[in-house]
Amino acid sequence: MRLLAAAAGLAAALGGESLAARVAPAAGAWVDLMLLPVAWYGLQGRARWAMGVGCAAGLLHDAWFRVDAFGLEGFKKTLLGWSLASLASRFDLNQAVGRLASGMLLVVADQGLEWALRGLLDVAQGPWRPWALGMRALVNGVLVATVLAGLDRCLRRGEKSAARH
Amino acid sequence: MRGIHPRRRDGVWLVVLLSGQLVLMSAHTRQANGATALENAVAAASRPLVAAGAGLGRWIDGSLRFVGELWVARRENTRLRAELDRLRTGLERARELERENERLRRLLGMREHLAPATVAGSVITAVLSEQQQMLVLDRGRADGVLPDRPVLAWGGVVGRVVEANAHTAKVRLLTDPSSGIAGVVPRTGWEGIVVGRGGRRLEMLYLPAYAEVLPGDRVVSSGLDGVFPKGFGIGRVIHLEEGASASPRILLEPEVDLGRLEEVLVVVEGTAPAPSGDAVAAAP
Repeated sequence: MRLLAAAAGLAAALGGESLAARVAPAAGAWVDLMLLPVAWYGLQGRARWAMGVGCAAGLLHDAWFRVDAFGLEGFKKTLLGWSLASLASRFDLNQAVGRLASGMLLVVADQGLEWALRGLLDVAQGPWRPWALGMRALVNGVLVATVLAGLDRCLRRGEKSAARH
Repeated sequence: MRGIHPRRRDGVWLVVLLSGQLVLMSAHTRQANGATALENAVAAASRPLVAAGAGLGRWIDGSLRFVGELWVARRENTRLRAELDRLRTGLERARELERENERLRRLLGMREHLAPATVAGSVITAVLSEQQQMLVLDRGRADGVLPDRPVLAWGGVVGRVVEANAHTAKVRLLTDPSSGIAGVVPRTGWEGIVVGRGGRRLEMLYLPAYAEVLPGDRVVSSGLDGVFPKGFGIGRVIHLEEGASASPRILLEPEVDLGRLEEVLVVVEGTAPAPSGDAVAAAP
């Protein structure tokens, strides 16, 4: 059941990414929906799940949205999942502000890793625009906070109605 | 793994997963078959999801456009009727000129223009970030689409196929930071290399400071790179900056709106001469 839920989350994120890329490709570059499942498991402090989901999300992303190095996104998301889970096991990040900050931090770390790995692999880099990174971090932070809060609420409602029956 | 402390077990998993992906990255950059096969398998398994997302996107896009088009349709209709009358007259004249052109070509013993053989493909999905500018087409090896084939659209060059599996292909757009194409300014004949900059702009390199290039000049493919056919539009000069370096900084706006592509053409057989009379001037 847990595996199915993780697969459904990944499927929804991938479907959402391709939808965003189709409707508004330029706007699609501002959001990283594949971060959502990683953030979900990471914020709960479930390191192995966060790593596994990060790895799968990254490989799916690489297979469809990357041309230069298959595995790069998987590497980043695996590491990010583990790091977030490690942080979440020490601090209570699974609340509104924590989620927003984690989402923003994930994007900044993701970009830093992207630069480092591209440099290591000698792949051409795009331009460095701090304002764009800041905006992406903010957009994705808000996305993580709102989507995870919505998911949380749905799950609680489901549990309550199950308990009533 | 059962006897290991949970934290250490996580560490072992992390090392295993990261090492595996480092191997994949390294194999992919060396074009090893294993990495490509895994990538193809992942893409094939997840294709229905991406297709569903893209289909829904197409529907939303279509609905939005439909509403917008209704809004302007009435005004457009009146304008188009007037345009149609004007074009009918022009068409008759163009037909006559074509017949005359054919006669003259035969007289001169010139080779008839051969358009490159192409396959039309629809865009499934696209990425237009600063690090990556690419799109995925619904055509693959089964349709004759192979790596290094040029991709064109109405108006000019779009990019180059970098990966192709059975039914899909990844195209690196001209604006990608790793992209490059040999270009020429037809007005003056100056040649250079046009590279992507990751945003919505292109940059033309290797032109001397005294090259005659002006804002508004059109740049077309020169065919010297051996990949792109000659004479297709690349972009227009929008910014010219003469600095201390030997070459001026020339920024171009792509001829094709790469953010709104729906259908493209992939050249599936060799390159061909210029598609029109947009003759490339002789180098100075």
